[in-house]
Amino acid sequence: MANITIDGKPYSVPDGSLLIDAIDQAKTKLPRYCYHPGLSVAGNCRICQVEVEKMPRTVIACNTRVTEGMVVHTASAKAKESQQIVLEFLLANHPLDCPVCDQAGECKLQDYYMEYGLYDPKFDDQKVKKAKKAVAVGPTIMLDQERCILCSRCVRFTDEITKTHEFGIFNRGDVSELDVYPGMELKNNYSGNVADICPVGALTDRDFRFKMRVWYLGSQESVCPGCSRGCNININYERSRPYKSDKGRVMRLKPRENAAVNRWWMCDEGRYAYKAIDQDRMTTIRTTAGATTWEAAVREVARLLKAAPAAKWGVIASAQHTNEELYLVRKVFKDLLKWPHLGYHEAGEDGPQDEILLRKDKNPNTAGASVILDLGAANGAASVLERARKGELEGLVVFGRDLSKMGAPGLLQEVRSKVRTIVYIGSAQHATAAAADVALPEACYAEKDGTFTNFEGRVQRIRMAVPPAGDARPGWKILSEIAAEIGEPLVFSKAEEVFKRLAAEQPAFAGMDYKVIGSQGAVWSRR
Amino acid sequence: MGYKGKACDKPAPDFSSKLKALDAQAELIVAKYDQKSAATLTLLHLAQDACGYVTPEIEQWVARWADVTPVHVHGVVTFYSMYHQAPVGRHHIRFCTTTSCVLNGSEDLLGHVKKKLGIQNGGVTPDGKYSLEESECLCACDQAPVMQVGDDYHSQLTAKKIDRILDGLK
Repeated sequence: MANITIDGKPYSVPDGSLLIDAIDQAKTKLPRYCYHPGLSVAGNCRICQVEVEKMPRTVIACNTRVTEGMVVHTASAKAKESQQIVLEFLLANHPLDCPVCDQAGECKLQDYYMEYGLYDPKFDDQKVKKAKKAVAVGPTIMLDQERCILCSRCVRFTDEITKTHEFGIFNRGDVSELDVYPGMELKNNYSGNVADICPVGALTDRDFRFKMRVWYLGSQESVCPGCSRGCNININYERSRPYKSDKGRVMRLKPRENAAVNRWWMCDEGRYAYKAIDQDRMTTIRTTAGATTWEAAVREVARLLKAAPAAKWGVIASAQHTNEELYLVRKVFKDLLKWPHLGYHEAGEDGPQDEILLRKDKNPNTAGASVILDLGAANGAASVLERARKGELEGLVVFGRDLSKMGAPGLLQEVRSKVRTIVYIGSAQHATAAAADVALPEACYAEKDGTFTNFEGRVQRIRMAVPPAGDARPGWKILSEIAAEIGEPLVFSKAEEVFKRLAAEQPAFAGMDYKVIGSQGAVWSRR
Repeated sequence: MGYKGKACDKPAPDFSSKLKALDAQAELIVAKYDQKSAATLTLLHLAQDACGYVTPEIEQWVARWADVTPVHVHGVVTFYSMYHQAPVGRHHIRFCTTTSCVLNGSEDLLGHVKKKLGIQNGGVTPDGKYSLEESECLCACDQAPVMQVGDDYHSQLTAKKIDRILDGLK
């Protein structure tokens, strides 16, 4: 360990640490453009200037290693002057087109000018113009060369993380420019990340561009439901301008740092899947008896389930459900009604997988489902559906899934013709929802609280970002009311209470609560 | 047509057989360096000398030998002024425009060259014989004004001397 002093306070940091990491750990503010903890050190933007005593000039903190006894000043007159001068150089050829720039509001040039700049510009030379302004470099990203400060974060990202090598810096001196290799497109499943790490408006997200100024966005911590990795995300939604809501409430997803799960990244497949939150949603209650209120619908469904002969009904559960909901699915259908035909897993529904983040299992909570429902190898949705297809079942409860996308083509029609009653509880409006006799609208992941367990057994929180669409309610609420109506007093006022009960009953979740899980998740105790 | 700036807009010819013939030399060059990537510049010169200019095919050939990515090689090619991305003339003139030469009248002489050949900076004569590039210091200030034609230096230039040199080229 090395003993160093940062702005007058003593710290002990591991030998050989980068000074900028030590400064970050000391929670001291320091500007940076090119430095990113997930990428190699480039040291080319020069903004992280600090004064180190006994060194003749200020140095960049990102490419300086700590040494014993180092005395560092991040905000001394000398350090501040260096930071200010560097910023002025970085802005020398910048077009200052903030009013038409989509990065405005989350631009580090703007932020740092207010925090470290505030100089009177001394440059009166003509600015050097770059050729490409608002040119798409791929399906997801727009390039604006003149806003680029050549920090090379995107170049290093495509070199070191995706290893796809699309970006490079070409030409020399003040005509240097960022571009993709001639004839190449930025087209990989992680391309959206370059807009996240671009500290300025040079790379912007084509999907989000000009949809909304970022200062109108609200943000809520959540977890991507796109695969079993469970990348930590922030859901950015708009709340202050409801008159714009025809464009949807959720505007974009951004990765949230979690060293144990997704580091700083997320894949494009997950990033652009947010549209399902506001599209093709089922928003109204529909039952055979024509119930329109939740009270009536719950009573009707509970009566239906209670009267159903256990061996003649089946449940297609969902690994898209939270742990809390799966706990209630188990309580109601397995423990209370004692239905033998219960399945959630579909063999062969796997998608692509890669070495970075993406998992082939496209459900966020398969691990949770396997432990909570505890069906062992007999977890297949296919065997339940096979029974339904053969006409062995009178009724079927389907959670979220679309049977028209499962099994052989025509399965839904076949099942529909054989099964007298289909109850659908889910958030999406699709063929199965339309074919069901009873359809109850459920909140999607962005509209409820709960937890998912990722493939490594990490239990992570999702939080409500926007209220449920239309009449929709969280699944745990629907299930607990059905349970209560059937006669089991499983009454909870919030998801957290369901989780408490789950943690008390399931050894894997022992000792956990929402506080323990926090924002970074907690790993299952070994069974 | 100029050779400067962006890559040639005409479809690049197939240099694969020329490059194949260079493979043996490339292997020797790469063996001289501790790190293969250090051979990038030398390999580019080797290929450019054989093919005349650098095409994406050549960038990929160099990238393979130097164990770097094509986009990295492209960064190198665009960084240095002595790599060309489009054909230059048979005689490529690099005319010094830096201080010592300017003090010795290079501006007028450069104008003379441009007028004589009918091309501007970055241009190639229609017959493909000459191309002109305004250059930074050629490191022969004591001999100013200076120009370079191909690999040869010509110093203490006058309009007459330039005429004699250029007219004497085949």
